Amino acid sequence: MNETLRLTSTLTIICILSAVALSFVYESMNPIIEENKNNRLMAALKEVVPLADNFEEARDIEKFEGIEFIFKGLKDNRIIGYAILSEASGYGGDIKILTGINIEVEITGIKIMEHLETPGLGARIEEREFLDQFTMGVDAVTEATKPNIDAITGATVSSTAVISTVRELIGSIDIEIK
Amino acid sequence: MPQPIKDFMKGLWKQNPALRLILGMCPTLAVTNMAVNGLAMGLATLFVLVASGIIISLVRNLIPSKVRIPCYIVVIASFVTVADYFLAAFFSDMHKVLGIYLPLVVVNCIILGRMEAFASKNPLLNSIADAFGMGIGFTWALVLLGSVREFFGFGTVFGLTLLGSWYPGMLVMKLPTGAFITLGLMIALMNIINERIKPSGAQ
Repeated sequence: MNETLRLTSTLTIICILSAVALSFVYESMNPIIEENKNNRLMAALKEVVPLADNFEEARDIEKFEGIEFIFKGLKDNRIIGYAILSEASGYGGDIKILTGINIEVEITGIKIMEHLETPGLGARIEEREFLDQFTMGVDAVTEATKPNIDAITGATVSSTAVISTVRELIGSIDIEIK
Repeated sequence: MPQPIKDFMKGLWKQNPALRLILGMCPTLAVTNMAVNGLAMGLATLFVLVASGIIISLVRNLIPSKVRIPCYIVVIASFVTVADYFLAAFFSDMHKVLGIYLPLVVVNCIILGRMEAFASKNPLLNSIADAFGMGIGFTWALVLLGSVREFFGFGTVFGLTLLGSWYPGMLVMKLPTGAFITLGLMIALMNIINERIKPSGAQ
């Protein structure tokens, strides 16, 4: 009995000490971590809707499946575009795609926020060479028969995931916003 | 040579955790597609090794042996969490690259292995020396492995372009397969060097 008590109390004390220490570390680091996250998001929003000078989360627009959030891009307090974060399922896991559109529903920018694709293959969906194809005009993406976008060699699954998700998004957002 | 220096030196070469003890293979193979990733993983492991080594060596006589493993894991996990927060706060790009492998440092067998085999049985100074030796030994192995893979895979080392844009990049070196091949060659090379220095009576 005494033995059991000693074992339990040792472990309990260690766990309490560790929890206390960690909560201090968390308290001091968390604001910086949150700020980093926010800065990263703002930079990304600015990248996909370059003309906007301010962003505001659009809570009034109904989000359909696969969409995580929508931000309104504002310039002089007028909406000039939207940035939409949608999720695609890639080869290694979910791919989070931030798509920027203007009010004519033309893609103004696109950025991969998170992915778990294979380095050197699927991970190349992050590269401009692939992503710039999307901003060449809405036709490239929504072409009726087949999107006019070249997939990355050796990474068809990852490329197709991005292409079809953006295509679907552009197709459905058209109705939602107009 | 004084004992702490011996404890430090053995991790660098004779008992190098990645190349001689073949411990911690998961991060070794997974994150070393570039030199800088290997360096960050090595340093994170070094930090956790030293910090946990200090604590465990200090409390080694207070912990009943029946619950020692859970106690070590709690201590190690706490320091891994600290390292995780620290990287997320101050090196958030690196934190993104290391991803899931950073929390997995908790189960890196090098750390638990050194706690069980060394820090729990030796005084503070020796434990710190051992942790630094093992950590630095692990770090240089990962950096070298990462550099070789980055050179052949991307034509760069630490992001510095060594081969021009004509170099197409060797795909296999970017994938885990390349890590297995490179690691095997590194261990073979180490064995050759050890064979060579043996007759001269070094060490």
